[in-house]
This record gives sequence, C-alpha cells and structure tokens, in this order.
Amino acid sequence: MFKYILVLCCLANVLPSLSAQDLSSKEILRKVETQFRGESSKSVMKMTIIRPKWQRTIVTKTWSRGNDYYLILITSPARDKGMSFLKREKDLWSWRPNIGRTIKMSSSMMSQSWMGSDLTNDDLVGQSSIVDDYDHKILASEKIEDRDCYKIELVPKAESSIVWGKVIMWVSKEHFIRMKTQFYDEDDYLVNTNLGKNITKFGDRYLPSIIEIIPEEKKGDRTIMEYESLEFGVDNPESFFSIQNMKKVR
Amino acid sequence: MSTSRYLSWGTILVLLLCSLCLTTVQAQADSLQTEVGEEGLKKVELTGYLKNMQTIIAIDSINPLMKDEVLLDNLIHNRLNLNWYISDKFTFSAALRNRIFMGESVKLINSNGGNYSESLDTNNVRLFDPNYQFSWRDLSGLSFTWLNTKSAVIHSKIDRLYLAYNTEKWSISLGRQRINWGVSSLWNPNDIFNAFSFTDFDYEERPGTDALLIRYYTGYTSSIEFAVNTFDDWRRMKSAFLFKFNKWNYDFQVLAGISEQNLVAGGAWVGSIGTVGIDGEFSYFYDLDSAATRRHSFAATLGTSYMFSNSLVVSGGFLYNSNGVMSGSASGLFDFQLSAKILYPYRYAISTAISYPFSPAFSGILSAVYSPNESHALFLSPMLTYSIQDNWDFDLVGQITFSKENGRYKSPLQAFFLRLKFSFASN
Repeated sequence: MFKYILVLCCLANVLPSLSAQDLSSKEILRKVETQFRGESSKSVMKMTIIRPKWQRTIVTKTWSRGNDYYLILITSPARDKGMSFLKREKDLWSWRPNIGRTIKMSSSMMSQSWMGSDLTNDDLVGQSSIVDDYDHKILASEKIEDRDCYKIELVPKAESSIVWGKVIMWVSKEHFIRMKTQFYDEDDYLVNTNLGKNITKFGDRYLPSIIEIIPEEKKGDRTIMEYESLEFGVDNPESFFSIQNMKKVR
Repeated sequence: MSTSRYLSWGTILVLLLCSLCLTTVQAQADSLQTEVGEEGLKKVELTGYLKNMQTIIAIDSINPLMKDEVLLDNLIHNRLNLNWYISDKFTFSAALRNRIFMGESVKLINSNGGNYSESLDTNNVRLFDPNYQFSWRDLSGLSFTWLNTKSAVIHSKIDRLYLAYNTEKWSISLGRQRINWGVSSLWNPNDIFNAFSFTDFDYEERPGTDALLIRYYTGYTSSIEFAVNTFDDWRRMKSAFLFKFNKWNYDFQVLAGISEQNLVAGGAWVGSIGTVGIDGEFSYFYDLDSAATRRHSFAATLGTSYMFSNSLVVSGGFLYNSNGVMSGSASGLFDFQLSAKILYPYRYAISTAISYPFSPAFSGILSAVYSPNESHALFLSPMLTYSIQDNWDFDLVGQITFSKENGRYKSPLQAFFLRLKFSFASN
C-alpha cells in the first residue's frame, strides 16, 4: 500500500514538470492534434469572411471521425444552403442540391480557397498531420495573451504535399491550445497568421472558440471562425460518411 | 425602344415581387416555427430565389420579320423549392418556376402570328386563351401560361414533384425529379434522362423527368441505380441501370439500358493524375428502328482541369459526337434538338475555360468552344459574377458566336445578360 502511495507522490511531482519542460515537440504536437481531432466530433460553426468593403457569413455543421472522415453541410446563407462536402480518406466530393449532382474534387482543389474564405479545403478537412507530415523543434518559450507557450517550428517533410515553407506555432503549456500559428512560404515570407481566441471548455477540453485567420499581404482581410457548439466523442459511425448521407444530412 | 424603360419597369416589378416574397416567406417561416422535428430541425423547408435578367441580343438575320437587329428583353424569374420531411424515411419535394417575359422578343413573336407561350413548353395549358383547346396531355406537363400578350407572357411550371423513400441502403423516388447521371462539366453523354445545353445558363436546376428511380447503395461510395420514365408509347420509353463505384481514388460508372428506341451502353470516370483533374464520359447508341438513317451513334468527351496556387483554374475538354455535322453555321448552337445522343450540333468540339476569383466576392470566367468544321464555329462566353451581399448576386454574361459564312468570318449572334439574383430560405 505504502509503495503505491509513494509511486503516486512521485508521479504527482513528475507530471507537472513533464508537461512543462520535458515534452518533446512531437509529443506536444500530438497533444494539440488529438485535442482537436483524433476522434469523432460534431460542431456548428459560423465563418465570417471580412474584406475592407465587404463581408459574408457562412454557417456550417461539421461531423468528423478521426482525421479521415469529414462531412460538412452549409446551413446558411440561403443561396448555398444544403450544399455539402464529404471527405473519405483521400477522396473529396461536394453535393449541389440545386442541380442534383455529386462532384468529385481533384487533389489540386485541396489547396483551393473554401467558399471564398482565407481557408483552403485542406485547412478545413485536415488532409495533413502536424505530427507526421512535418519535422519539428521547440524554439523558445513565449507568452501569448498571458499564457506560457512553446514556440515550435514545423518544416514540411520533403514527401508531403504541403504548400508552406515553414510553420511557427505557439502552443500553451497548459491544456496544449494552439494560441497562434504563422505560415511562411518557401521564400520565408509570412503569408498567414492564425490566432486562437476566447478559450472555452468544450466537454473535457479547452479550445479557442474563435479562430481568426489574417492574411499578411492584404490589409483589412480576415476570416473569423466561431464555434457555436462543439461536441467530442459523438457516435459517428463510418457509414455516416457516405455519398448517400451527404445528400440527405440535415 | 429604350433600354431604360425596361430597366425601370423591371426594377419596380422586382422590388414589388421581392417584398411580396419576403413577406410570404417570413409568414411561412413563422407559421412553421412550431413544427420542428428532431434536433430542432424544421419539418418543412422553403427555399428559392428571385431573379431579374435584362437581355440584349444582336442577331445578324435574314428574317424579314425582324426590323431591328437588336432585341431588348426582360425576364423576372422566381423559384420556390419545398421540402417536407414527413418522417425519417419519407420526404416530399416540389419546385415551382414562375417567369414573366417582357420585351421585344415577345412582341416580335406575338404580334406576327406566332405564339411565344408555345415555344416555352411542349405540354402547356394556356389559360385565358380563347384559341386554346384544352387537352389532358397538356395538363400532365404541369405547365401553365397565365398571360400571353404582345407586351408580356407569364408562365409557371412545376418542375419537381416527387416523393422519396430513404433507408440506410435504399433510396426510391417517384415523380417529377432530376436524374443527373452526367459527371463531366460541359457535355454529358451519360445524362440520358436530363441532357442539357451549356448555353442555357439561366436554368441550372434543369427540367425534371417524370420517372421512378430506385437506388441501392452497395457501399459508402457505390450504388446500383435503376430508372424508368413514364411513357404512353413504348418508343418514348427510357429505362436504364447505372452502377457507380470508387476505386484507386477514382469514381467510375457504367450504364446500360434503352433510351427512346435505342439500346444504350456507356461509362464515365473522374479522378486525377497527380494534381491534374481528369474525367471522361462516353455512350454508344444502337437504334432499334430499322428505318433509321444512322443506326450507330457514339458520343465521348474528355476533360481536364488544373488549379494554380493563385486559384486560377484552367480547364480543357474535347467532344466527339457522331451525330454532329461538319457543316452549318454557329447559329446552330441555339436551335438544335438536344439529347444525350446529340449533345452538340457539330461532330467535334474543343473547349477551354479560365476562371479566376479576383476577390471572394468577384470572379470571372472566360469559356470558349471551337469546332473544326467547315464554318469554324466558335462560341465565346465571358462571365463576371459579383456577390453583393450574402444573398444578393449580380452576374454579367456574354454569349458570342463566330462562324465562317460565304467566305467571311463573322459573328452572327451576340447576346449579353445582366442578372440580379436574390436568394431566400425559410430558416
């Protein structure tokens, strides 16, 4: 009995220091990835695309299962309502209810802007993994919005199809939240900055409920993603992610 | 005839109709608020749009009826889509298309002994028309002309009316519906139930077919479908099977059946080589009528598209269409009888399109289709689309044809369309 208590005490001492200092960049990123993906989820998200003289709002419902299965349904605006997107491993389809047609999307469309936003299809349905498709190292410890963060550099592996030259990510030491991410092109110019805001507890995990995407070159342009609801551990069987369900999901 | 007069009348009518529609939709939405199913989803959904389109057509014509070579027209176009989710398994869908035509084309046809409303539909009930003889066959078209005068034509059509039954593996729908079997972007040899011409850009929903469609899902991305249309004469029967599946990250389909006295067999695929998207679609027809001039027909299309990192999309395509001719001018594009068997008036066609989003709200597409025939028919279509607000769109579309006639290369037709669209939904 005493032995167990001793072990527990040791563990209690060891654990905080582990999470604070001794985690490798890979372990940190693995935690970030599983925080948000890795299992099934259901969410309602409002996306606002902001341009200096113009603004558009799209409301979506998203179901996911791991990193391989996604179903996204547009519920607003009226013009695009009922349009859906299905991702199954490497295949991506969209459904247009007005013309009654399923369209298979080619892989070059993965880097296409999604519905005119500052996000690509790849950003939205997460084709690439921040753990496996990049080489990474911890650069420093910095504070973002009063939270201690690891500053991590991610360089895409040669065989990956990632368009970025490198990615710098600030991950909070507590709860492993992606507070800030900067995307650089191959010439080392900053292209995009993502900011995680309004940290909220969704079920048992902490995540930003607002994500802001700011393109560097275009002044005044922004895309804001706001989660109206986000549930994890939802029972989304593989059969949910079918061509049939893409046409009838509501 | 002044353009401004049409513009102002059009605008006033659009505004009137807009407010009327908004009130109706809002009232509908409010009254349906109480009828909600699981997860707060509405049992009844109403969506639609209201469009106003100004058309300017310049025709190089030898028609003696035409004094003016430029025609100005206005079209007010409303669409209502209704979905009633009766239960988990049953859904009822209906769609109504209302159009008001005004302008010089209407005047030209209706004041010279023609009948504009007749050209709108084959089975069309012409209400309030003393010269019209009612027939039950016309009623089956669910197509009605309310007004047919020199100054305006008002026409309504129910182009969707079907009941669908869905289980995890089965999907059965009966009634007027769209059976869209094509996969390519411009020409669809597999689309035997709903062939359409890309020049008709203002009717993206396409007409429905009165049919029974049975679909069995053999997997998450594969299915076997069977469809048959309604017919009163077996020579008009269309009935076919379609098998769809996904393999090696490609979508494939094969089809076989009978289409208006023709045995038909076809197939299609969509996928990519590296990051370049490719697709292909073909159909072979064998005419069972021994008196037919051509008993074998073949149509095949190949397409490719690529997106550059700056979002510029370039696509190209090729069509072989054995029923097409090697002669004829570019005007043939607008007056040939289209079907999956005859997708284009000419035997060969090469297409190319470039699209570029200047901003999320503003994009442009330039498409060109060239046929290497006697007249070197060329069809050019520039299109600019601007999203004014979430549900307001503005489009400018051009359709310009060129062909060689009597030794001279000229443009027999130029058409420009200005379209304002307002989309709405009940919730």
